[in-house]
Order: sequence, then structure tokens, then C-alpha cells
Amino acid sequence: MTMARDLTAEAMTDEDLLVLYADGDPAAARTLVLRLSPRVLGFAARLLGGDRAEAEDVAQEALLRLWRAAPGWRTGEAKVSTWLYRVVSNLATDRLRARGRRRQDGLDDAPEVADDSPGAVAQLIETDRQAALTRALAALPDRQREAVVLRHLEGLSNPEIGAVLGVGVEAVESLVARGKRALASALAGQRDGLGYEGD
Amino acid sequence: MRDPDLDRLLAEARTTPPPPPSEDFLARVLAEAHAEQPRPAATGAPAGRTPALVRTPRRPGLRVLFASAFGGAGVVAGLGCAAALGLVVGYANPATLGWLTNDYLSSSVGIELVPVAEVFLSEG
Repeated sequence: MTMARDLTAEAMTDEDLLVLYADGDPAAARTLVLRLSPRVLGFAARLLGGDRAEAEDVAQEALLRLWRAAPGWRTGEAKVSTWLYRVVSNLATDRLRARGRRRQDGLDDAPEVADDSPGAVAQLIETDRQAALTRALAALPDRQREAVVLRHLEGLSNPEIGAVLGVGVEAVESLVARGKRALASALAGQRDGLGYEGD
Repeated sequence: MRDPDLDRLLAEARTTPPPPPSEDFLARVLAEAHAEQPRPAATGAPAGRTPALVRTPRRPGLRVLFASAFGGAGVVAGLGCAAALGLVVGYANPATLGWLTNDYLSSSVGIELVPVAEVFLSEG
């Protein structure tokens, strides 16, 4: 019975797979883990300033809550991805508040790179840009950071972001706009250093 | 930073895939998923162990079948009592019941079920 399901598991929605999971299908559990883990972990890492270990803790806790919610899941009321984004947002916010503002030590701890070839320099610039963006995102207020990450890094639409954050579309637009202005301001002094001077 | 630069930076971040989950992380999450997963229904009792509260249903006996044919054990008991009382009264013929048989059962009694029907009919 599970073999027939395996053949179409990749084409199923998250909600369909969650129903199969709640029915005890082990193949559905594996497919959900492989499908959802990268997304949840990546989102958690972006909210937590790239802290991989803490992001894994948050992602694991969010998925654990999903497994426990599966038997009572009501199809059609919420998308699994939206539900997970909301749980991860709440868990990440709790972590950030518990430890205070994030440490601003991303680049300082980066290993020294001795290779000065053009490819290595480009890679370093790219790494610097992403590290600077991560730091600037971490400095944003929680709601603005969540809105910007969901809109510009996760690719969600404004109504979807509104469902995650529990606000209307206009509030989402405002959060994203204010977040981007704050990002631009935080990165303003680093434009030349990040390789944008010749662009 | 100018808006186009910021948009480009965000676009680069979006297209740069995050590091994939480690095997250890996936193993932990999958283990939790299996541990929390409900068991499939209709699995029956585990092999080698008989649940204490599960017993094989017994076939109903002859007395139960007889009683159920008359509507249950209570009805059969009531019928039995009434039959026994009738036999006792028939054989004993108690004199103290003469008032009942002479005064009531020996005379006819007329009962008008619709006493006012004629009034309505007569008034048209």
C-alpha cells in the first residue's frame, strides 16, 4: 500500500503527505522530513543571523510540533508551510529575545583567506556581502526582519506573509518597506567595501 | 546603499541556496517523526500478549435465548408470577373476594364514552 503512495509522494502537497503521516505511513514521514527540513532550517538560520546550531534546534522543535499537530490537522484551514513559518518565527523571536540582541561578530570570526586569486577574491566579496546582509538583518526589529526575509529571501507573497505574521497586507507592505529602508541605511557605509563601487 | 544595490544583494541571497541539512540533523528529525507518528489502525493485539480486558465473547445459553424470545428475563419473571398467582386464587377460592365478584363482576355497567355528543348534535 505504501509503495503506490511512494510513486506519487513527490507530486503530493504537504497537506496530503501530512494526512498520510497521521495515518501511520512511514514513507510519508520520510518524504516530509526531506522536503521540509531544508526550508525550515534555512529560514531559521536567516532569522537567527546564520547561527547554524541554534537554527537546527529551532527547526527540530518546529518540526516536532508539526508531527504532534498532524493527527488533529484540519485540511484546508492552513498550509503546512505557512504554519511552519509562523512557528519558526515565534521560536526564533523567543531565542533572540532570550539572549538579547545578536552579537555582531560574524565577519570577525571568519577565517583568514590566503588565496588572492581572482576567483577567490570574488568569492570573498560574495561572502562579505552575505555576511554584511546577515548582520544588517539581525539588527532589524523582529517583525521587519521576518517580513523582509519572507518576502525577499523566501519568496512569499504579501498575503502569505500576512498569514504567517497574523497581519493584513498593508501592514506587511509597511513592514517590508521600513525593513528595506533600515537595511539600506545599515549597509550605506559599506557599499564600497562590498564591491559595489564599480557597479 | 542605493535601492538597486540592496535589491541585487537580496536577490543574490535568495538565489544562494543555504547549506543543506546535515545527515545527523536529518536523522534526528526523522527519528522524532517516526517516534511521534500515530500507529496505523486495525493492527490487533501484539503477538504473544493478550490484553487483560479483551475476552472472547461467549455464545448465549438456552435460558438467555428463551428469555429474549419473550422480551427479556424481566418479562418472563412477571409472566411467571402472574401465572402462579392465578393458580393460587383459582384453587383457594377465597371467600373474602366475594364482594368483588358479586358486587361488580355480576352486574353490567354502562359507560358513555362521549357523554356530550348528543348536546352538540341536537343544537345543529
